[in-house]
Amino acid sequence: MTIKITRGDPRYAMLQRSRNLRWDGNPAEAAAEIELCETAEQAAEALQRAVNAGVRPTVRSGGHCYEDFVVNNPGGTILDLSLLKSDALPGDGNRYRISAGHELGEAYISLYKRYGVTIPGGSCFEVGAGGHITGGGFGVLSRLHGLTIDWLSALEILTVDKKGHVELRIVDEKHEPDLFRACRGGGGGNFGVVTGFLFDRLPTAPYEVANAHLSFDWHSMTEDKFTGIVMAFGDYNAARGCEPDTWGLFTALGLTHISSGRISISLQFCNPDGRCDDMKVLDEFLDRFAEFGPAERRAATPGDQRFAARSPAARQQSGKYDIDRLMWLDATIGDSGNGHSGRAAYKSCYMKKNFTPLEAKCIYKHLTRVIPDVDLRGSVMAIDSYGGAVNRKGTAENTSVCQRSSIMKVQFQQYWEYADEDAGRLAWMREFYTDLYSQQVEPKYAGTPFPNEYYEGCYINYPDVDMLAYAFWPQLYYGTGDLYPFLQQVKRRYDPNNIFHHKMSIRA
Amino acid sequence: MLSAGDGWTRREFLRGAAGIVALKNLPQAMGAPRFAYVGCGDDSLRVFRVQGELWTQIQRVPSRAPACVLLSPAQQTLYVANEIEEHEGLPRGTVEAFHIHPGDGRLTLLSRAALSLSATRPRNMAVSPDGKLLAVAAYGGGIYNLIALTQEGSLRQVSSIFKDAGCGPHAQLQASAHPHTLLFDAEGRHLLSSDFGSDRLSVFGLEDGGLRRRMQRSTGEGSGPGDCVLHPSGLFVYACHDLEGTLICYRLEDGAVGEEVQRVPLSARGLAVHPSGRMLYTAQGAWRIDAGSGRLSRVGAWLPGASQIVVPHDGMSVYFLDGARGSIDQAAADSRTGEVHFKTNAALVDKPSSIALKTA
Repeated sequence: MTIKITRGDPRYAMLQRSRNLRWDGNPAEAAAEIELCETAEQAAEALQRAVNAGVRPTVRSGGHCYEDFVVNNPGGTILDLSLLKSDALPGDGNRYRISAGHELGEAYISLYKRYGVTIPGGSCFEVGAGGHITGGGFGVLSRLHGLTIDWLSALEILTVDKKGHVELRIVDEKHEPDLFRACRGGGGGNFGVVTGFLFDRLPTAPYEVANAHLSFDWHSMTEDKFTGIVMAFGDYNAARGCEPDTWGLFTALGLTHISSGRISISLQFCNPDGRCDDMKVLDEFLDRFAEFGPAERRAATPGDQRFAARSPAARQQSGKYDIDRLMWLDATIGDSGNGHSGRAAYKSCYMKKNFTPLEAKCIYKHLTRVIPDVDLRGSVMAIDSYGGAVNRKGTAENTSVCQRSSIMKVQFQQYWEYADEDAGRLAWMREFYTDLYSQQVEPKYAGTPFPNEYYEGCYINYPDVDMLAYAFWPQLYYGTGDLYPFLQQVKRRYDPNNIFHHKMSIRA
Repeated sequence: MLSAGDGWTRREFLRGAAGIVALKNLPQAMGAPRFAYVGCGDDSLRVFRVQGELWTQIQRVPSRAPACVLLSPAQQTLYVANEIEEHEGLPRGTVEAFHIHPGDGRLTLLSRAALSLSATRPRNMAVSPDGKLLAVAAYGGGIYNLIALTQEGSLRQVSSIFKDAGCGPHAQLQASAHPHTLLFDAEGRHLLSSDFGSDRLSVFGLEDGGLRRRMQRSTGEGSGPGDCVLHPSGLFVYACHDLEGTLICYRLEDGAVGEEVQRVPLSARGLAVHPSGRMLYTAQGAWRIDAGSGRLSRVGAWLPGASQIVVPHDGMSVYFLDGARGSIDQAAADSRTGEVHFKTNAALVDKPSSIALKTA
């Protein structure tokens, strides 16, 4: 039996809410009940009940969806898989399993302690595997090992057939390969309820990693210096960062608003053998920023807790730079949990080339823009290094992540507390994004990083409903090739009644 | 009774018109249409003043894909279902409420309500007898929405959602549930629906302001139930099975669809029952109804083609909207028996899709 939470239950107020408080607070829109499922069988029963009753099921594992795709579901049921954490392996027992309800941190610990392996997934401890992996599963080790879905061998999924009957399927490259491919990056809430992921093999977890941080004061920043930093970062990723010996280097440039005080560069590094005995690649990267006068200390970058806090015991002098050299598991689960609930907004862009001076100046303009009565602390344009193993040939054709030519991935983030700040903050963010992505795209795609020689669209795990204003929004997330038509075909086949839908689900 | 062929030509119209000239000069009968509201395929509503068989267009109002127009019980408000796939970037249709000016019949938009997510291509609606609820059938999304109405007839937001699932054997037309027609019972306690996609009739109860399915009845694999109409007695429902090409009378018992009373061949859309309960109209002809058993007996194949048939409450006329020909035809009827005496063309309209007649 599932644990059913209805409005009369004292737990309802807690469990019906979203982590993003922007979606919270309208009782008329909230789901009528939450069904906590501890097994795939329970999830199947709960899903069947929802279908029979004519109520819309939405699905949650960790509850970190960036948009309002789950909790506001009037009269509906949230299938909450956060307690579905079975480690049981089917069949031969030679596979690794991650259940939909596992938090990434739990998965890292379990895989490491049991087998010494890991997935190249995201860095937030509490993000649920269910949504994260179906959207691609990108993280700090992705340049070294690709996306999590690149390693996926099979998955368990509940679908609803055309008659309204729930079916548990185990799909892989031989069994319903179309559905398997669609769930390898197509995004959550589209085709069914994924209850578990199976991997025949996984990369060995690194033995250790080196973390380093640079920051630059806004106080002494000029447009030229800012442009130099941004373009130096982009240049590394566009050129040297494409060479395999650098793929163990993950870097993030955190461009905060001027009101935050500092911008930062953070990195995690290991050599392809999972050790840090040779720091040449790291030093070479850091050398590129020496001319800009960085401070070697951690800047408070909102939302970016991917890099474990500096530990005096771990601090080591390596050549010219002061770095933290940590055991990989310590670095990965250190303080990367994020239990904070607040208000947030996100946007994204895949970049295929370095920034142009035009882009850098545009970014500078918006990050130094001061708007009366609008507090823009807590705003960051986070630019992650990308590519490496992600861009290996053949991965796009076997998965539903088509962005395999990019060298950086941009995530615009804002975090704040109070509803009365929503309008000003969101307006600034939209204006910034629209302006930045109106300069190097065809006029008909203005305001978006529509795939072209510079951009490769947006990441479906960073969904942004602002993009729905554009009729071509599916091409932003799924490319201009045949991927979206393929996903539509899968949708028609496996969810003919569109039981699973949200604002940005695949539209058949 | 005129005896024309199944077709309805311009020549026939002229012949018919000659026969009813006298009607033009008659005073407006009590309960006869005063205004007609026609949804058109050019994203507009057309308002006509009706004087006998003389129709004069007095207003054109923009409205996206008005697949269904429906009057409130008091005839003070017109509801429109916009058969669209998307509204404000989201996959959902909309409905609109227009205030009807009592004197001149003109429309003013009161409100527009977005349907629930995935409630695409709404095609049919029913308003509860007390005028407090609007039920909407979203054909595309396989979803029913209930919308509460204000005292003025304006739309509140969607208050209840029922997401259906099902299919039929026709791969293209019945790949998923497609709610087609909605009918409230006289007390407004039950809502009957036909589902073209899943081959079934359902009866929903309205419990705690929400829709709960009380029963469902299969209409047979590949039948494709479409237009439905209740007999005024509340004892029978007539349903066109569009794919199967039949018209079926079902008995209604205790708020449930009961046994099949009769099945007759019929391959046409459009269905209406005369207020007397003694005649049923289809685009392929009229059928006399035995009030006791609900059984039909054919009386002639003379009616014009139609995709919608409307009978005003006074029972003195019948209107046939033919979307393909762009015409609205009118026939005079016997208010006691429903027998039709003569017919004429009331209006030629570009791509008409739905019609409602205001008599009050």
